[in-house]
Amino acid sequence: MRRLGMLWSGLVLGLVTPAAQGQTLFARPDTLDVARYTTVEECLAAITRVKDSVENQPEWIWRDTLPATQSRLAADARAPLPAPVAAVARRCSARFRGGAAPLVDFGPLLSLFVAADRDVDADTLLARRLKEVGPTADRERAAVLDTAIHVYLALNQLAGQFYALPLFAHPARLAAAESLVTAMVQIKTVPWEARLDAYGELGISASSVDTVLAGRAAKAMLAVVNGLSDLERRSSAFRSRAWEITAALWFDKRAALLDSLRHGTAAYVALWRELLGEVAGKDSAVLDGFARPIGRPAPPIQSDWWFGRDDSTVVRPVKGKVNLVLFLNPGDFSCFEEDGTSLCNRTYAGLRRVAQRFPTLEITLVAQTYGFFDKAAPPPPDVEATLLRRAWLTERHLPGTLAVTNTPFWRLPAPDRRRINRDVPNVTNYSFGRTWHVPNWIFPPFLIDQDGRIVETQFRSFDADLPEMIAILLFRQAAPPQSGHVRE
Amino acid sequence: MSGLDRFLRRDDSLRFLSREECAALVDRIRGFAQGGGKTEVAVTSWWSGEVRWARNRVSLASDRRDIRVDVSRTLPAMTGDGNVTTNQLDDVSLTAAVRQAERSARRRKHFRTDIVTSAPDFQYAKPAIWSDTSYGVTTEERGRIARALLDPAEAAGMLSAGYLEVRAQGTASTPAEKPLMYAQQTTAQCSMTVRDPEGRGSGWAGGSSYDWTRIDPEALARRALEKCLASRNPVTIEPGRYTVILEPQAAHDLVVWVVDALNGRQAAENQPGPLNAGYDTALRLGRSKLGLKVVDERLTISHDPMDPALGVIPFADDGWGPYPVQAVTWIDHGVLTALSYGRGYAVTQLTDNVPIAPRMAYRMSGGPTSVEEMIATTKRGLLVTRFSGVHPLSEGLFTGLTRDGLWLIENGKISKAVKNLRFTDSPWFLLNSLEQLGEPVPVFSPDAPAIVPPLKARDFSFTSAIDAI
Repeated sequence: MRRLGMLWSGLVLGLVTPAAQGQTLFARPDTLDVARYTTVEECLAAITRVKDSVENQPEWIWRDTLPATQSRLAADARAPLPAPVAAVARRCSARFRGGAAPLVDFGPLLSLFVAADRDVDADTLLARRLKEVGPTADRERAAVLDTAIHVYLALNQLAGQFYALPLFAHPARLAAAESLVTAMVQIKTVPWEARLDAYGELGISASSVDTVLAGRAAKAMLAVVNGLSDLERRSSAFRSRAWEITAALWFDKRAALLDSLRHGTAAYVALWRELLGEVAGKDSAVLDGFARPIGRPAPPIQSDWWFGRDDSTVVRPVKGKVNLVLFLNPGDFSCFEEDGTSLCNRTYAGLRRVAQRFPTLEITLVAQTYGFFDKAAPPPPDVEATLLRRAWLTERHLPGTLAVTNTPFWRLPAPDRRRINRDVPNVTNYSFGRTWHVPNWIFPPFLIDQDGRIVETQFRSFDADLPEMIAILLFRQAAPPQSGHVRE
Repeated sequence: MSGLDRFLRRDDSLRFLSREECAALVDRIRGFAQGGGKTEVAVTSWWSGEVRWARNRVSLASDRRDIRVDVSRTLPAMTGDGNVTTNQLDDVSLTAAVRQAERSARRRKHFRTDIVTSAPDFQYAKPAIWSDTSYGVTTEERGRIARALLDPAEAAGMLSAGYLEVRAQGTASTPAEKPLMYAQQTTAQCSMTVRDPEGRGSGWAGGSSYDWTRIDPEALARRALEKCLASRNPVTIEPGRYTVILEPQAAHDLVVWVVDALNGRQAAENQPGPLNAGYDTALRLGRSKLGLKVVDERLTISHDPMDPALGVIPFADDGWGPYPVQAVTWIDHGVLTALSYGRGYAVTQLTDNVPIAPRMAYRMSGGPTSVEEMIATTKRGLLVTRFSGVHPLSEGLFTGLTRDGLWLIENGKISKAVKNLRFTDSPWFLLNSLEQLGEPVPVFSPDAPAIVPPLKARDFSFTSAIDAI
């Protein structure tokens, strides 16, 4: 009986042993033995898991040297895939051959070969697929080339269309992609929108790596634009690509535009108008789609509460100095709640870098109350303004002076009862009769010259274009007026 | 032996965690935290005893329980929180869960530090949602009840299938620096279908409540058998628009979609649907139909958690912190007066702190007409027991099948059983085409209690005939 009791105790103990001791812990990546994967999809999934694992290391920390790009891997377009990712790709892809693999797996397999740095196999596979399609099947041929362009540029989105294939081209295969884009646009049935987008994406991919290639892509893009009819230019498809076309213009005419800015804001604005007139035609409706309030006087910022300024009598933007005006979105706390790698926080870092590099630059942050802050009971406006100061200046360490406006509002009648904010003067003034949308977050800013005129509102990032333009404006500010410099 | 140990050992004397055991578990979890900061814990534990039978034979008898622990850690000088869910209660597993939550929180550092604000305190009601009787229905008793339910059908030469379940659940939530909120709840349900062995007829009956004593199994068995016998040998009729008399269960099968649409003010304002009034270009925001008449003016749809027949767990949380579930009148005499929204919406859109919790429990107002009177005043129409497979086709438009008893009414009398029909119509149209309403009664709705009247409506659209009985 005693032994039976011991046996029973042992059984009970065995049953109630802490579960953690008996369980198999899931450890990432679970792809140490990729030999067990037999399909392309399994390999791509394994590579994705390892890549996610590498990108989400806990030691990932926030610092102001973060680049202003969304993906850690895309931080440096020239960087290869991290070694563990590439190793898994190579091991898992070993069973596949570009010359023999079934073409039904073309897209995923092409991505796998690129991930494994087996570009020769990728090219072989692509050549086989194109041969299978044949030279006359235009639509299929364009689709194959389109897939390959996506894979070689690692672009999972093109013209708003999400591309579901896992893509790992690090670095992007720019030369190969350029030849594919060239081949695709030569197919007569490819619509102009697709040509424009292909060149645009090629240019964006190349812009931080190969400026010569990016310049070629910009020129090609503008050539497509120049070949469009007036009807096509009046289309919503054309106007919706205003940002991309303007960016191409900037890239193509960058030197001339910066030279004109050295002469003066008026020269810069005049050159832009001439360039835009060439691409948009004479149709004012189309031109409006490209319009930015450049060259216009920057309205003075109004505020109920000022934070972070020494002299309360000086009007901002400060006359006689180069200014940056940024509108913040305190009503939306998504930027507050994102993690260390978020776009918002990298953008803050970009702004801090600009401030450190140009200490004489006058930065004005423009905010307004919204009647709430985080999860607290609705605070009075002055309390909310103080919370905004703490959020932006103390917590986020944003440089500059903060202007907070008390937002007037009314309420819809019950039972709706929603608070409806009235327009605040700053947003109204910087909307220029609603011809321009005031950005509802920190980027892009308004760059304003020492004469109080808006110079530019479109930049690639705080690290690209903007610093160079600030430097020119500060040089102009420091230099006495000369015959070569035009002052408006 | 502590209650928690007994839970782990599957001791039948404790089938879910009490308030005290949840508090002890939360204290243990907080004890594993390192580096200060805040620890929020939510604990849900439940037990379920069930019997399922088919073709007059029991096919399943089970006794199950499980637990879910959600741990959220926020570290000092870091505003992001890390969240982990586990069902393992040993020290090693809980420690691992807390560490994982802290690692996750650490990745989000440098943001919104000491200005994180928290949800306000509130008091919550104690609705009637617990029944010792339900909790005391043993395995043996469930078996006896099932036997008693299927015996009459078997004696009549019919086949029966059904399901009986009693369930108990403890829900605890501990927001940081606030007292533990706890609610324990029982639910009981019983439903059965009786079918002719040759597939010529089918009848159904069901009931649900937090309190088993409110369910009369014998009456359910009798009703299902009577319906089956009365529905045999149905004839086919042409689909088309018919006046329909919906028994309370059939009415609920459609009205529940109306209640579902009431749960989501943001969706009503911003997405196409029966409660969306379009985009207001002047105000630059989406409008709902709040304040507008949306159904027949005789109808009021409301919910009070203190209603003895409509109790629910008295607090909710939409991620912005917990808040109380309070009484609400969704539709008042046909006018849409409320739509649910959480604290996030209340704070950002209304700049107040009074949310309206979503819920599927509801009471629908009725009228003075009995089903018999509805039949007597119908020249030609259909009497519907219930619907099955109801699902949306597009916003506000639904399709589904009649089931377990459909009869043709001619000249004020039930003339014959008819084969099932597929409907394609909107419950919103139905509630705008009412002719008569009866006395509201509890219906079979195990997930959320509902009290619904029988109703008579005109021009309900049936779009095809169905061969299935």
